[in-house]
Amino acid sequence: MDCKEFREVLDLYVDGELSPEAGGAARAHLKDCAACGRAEAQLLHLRRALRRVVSGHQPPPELANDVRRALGLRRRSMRRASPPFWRLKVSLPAPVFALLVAAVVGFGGWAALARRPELPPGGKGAGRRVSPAATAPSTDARGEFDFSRFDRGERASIHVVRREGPDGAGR
Amino acid sequence: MRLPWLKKTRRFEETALPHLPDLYRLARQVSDEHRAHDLVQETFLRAWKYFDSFERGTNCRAWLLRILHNVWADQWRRTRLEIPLAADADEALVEPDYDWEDEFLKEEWSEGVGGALAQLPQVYRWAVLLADVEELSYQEIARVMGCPVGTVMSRINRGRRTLARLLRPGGSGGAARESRGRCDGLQRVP
Repeated sequence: MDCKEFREVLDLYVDGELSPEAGGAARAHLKDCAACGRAEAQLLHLRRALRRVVSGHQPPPELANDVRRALGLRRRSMRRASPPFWRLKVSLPAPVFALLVAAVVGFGGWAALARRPELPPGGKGAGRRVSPAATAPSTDARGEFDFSRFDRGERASIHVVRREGPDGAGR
Repeated sequence: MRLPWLKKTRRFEETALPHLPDLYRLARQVSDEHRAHDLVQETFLRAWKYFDSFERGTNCRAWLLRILHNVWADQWRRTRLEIPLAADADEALVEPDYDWEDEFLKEEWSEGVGGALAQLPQVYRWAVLLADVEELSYQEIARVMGCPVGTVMSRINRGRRTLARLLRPGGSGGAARESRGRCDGLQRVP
């Protein structure tokens, strides 16, 4: 490395930015070249002077407290701005959301079907809701109440039975 | 839900706040005392806001310096009507071909360094301070200033030589006033 090359990389050498090989070549040149040695010394002298100037400015004692106070205010405002966890919005991709809705609807439908009583197969009355007005309490041949119609899907209805008392008055 | 906040607060105070003196000293070189106070305060507010993005184990001081530079650039843009390009600013002042063999940087000339630094265009001032005082690598300086490494090298080179010329006997560094507040060169920081 000659003087011209060294001066071109002087800043990089002083800043430690040269590769190990280039740094070694620069050091070897400095051993033999007093002029380049003086140039390096000047640059390092300037660096020391800069550091002395900068270190002379110490932060005022209240700056740290001011920063902490400002951070405290900012933290409180950010905490107020952030919603509680039960109000957090969760974003889902559309296919995932559709799958979730289908699963909920499917489960709800299955649960509803599972609760319904079993209906007899076929038959006009099977599964059909019969209005109480359309039905009348029926009795079988022995005059007892016929419960078999409930097996056919009919619903029970409440009827007021008027009976005559011994005195002929109804109650 | 207070625990994450407490952890973040403790980590911020242990990791970031200790660098406050370094940030203030640098801020004082690019602004006056009042503005330096505001710059540092705003820097830490912004650092707190983005602290979750800071990678543990990396150079926190360099990260804070980058925020400081961005805060300074934002405030500069708000207070200036025109932003001259760095390449055009004070070209007559910048010394590209200084010969370091002039042995005039003697101890007595060190007293004029502060004044000479105040005359240096802002982009060169930042580069020289980050390299010589903060001892950042060129890569880190490029991240702080938002420019390529080659630009960093050029600014450091020119900045140092301009300082040396200002400190030369007969240069304006020895009798320089403190920062005149003129519109120095500034490159927009992304």
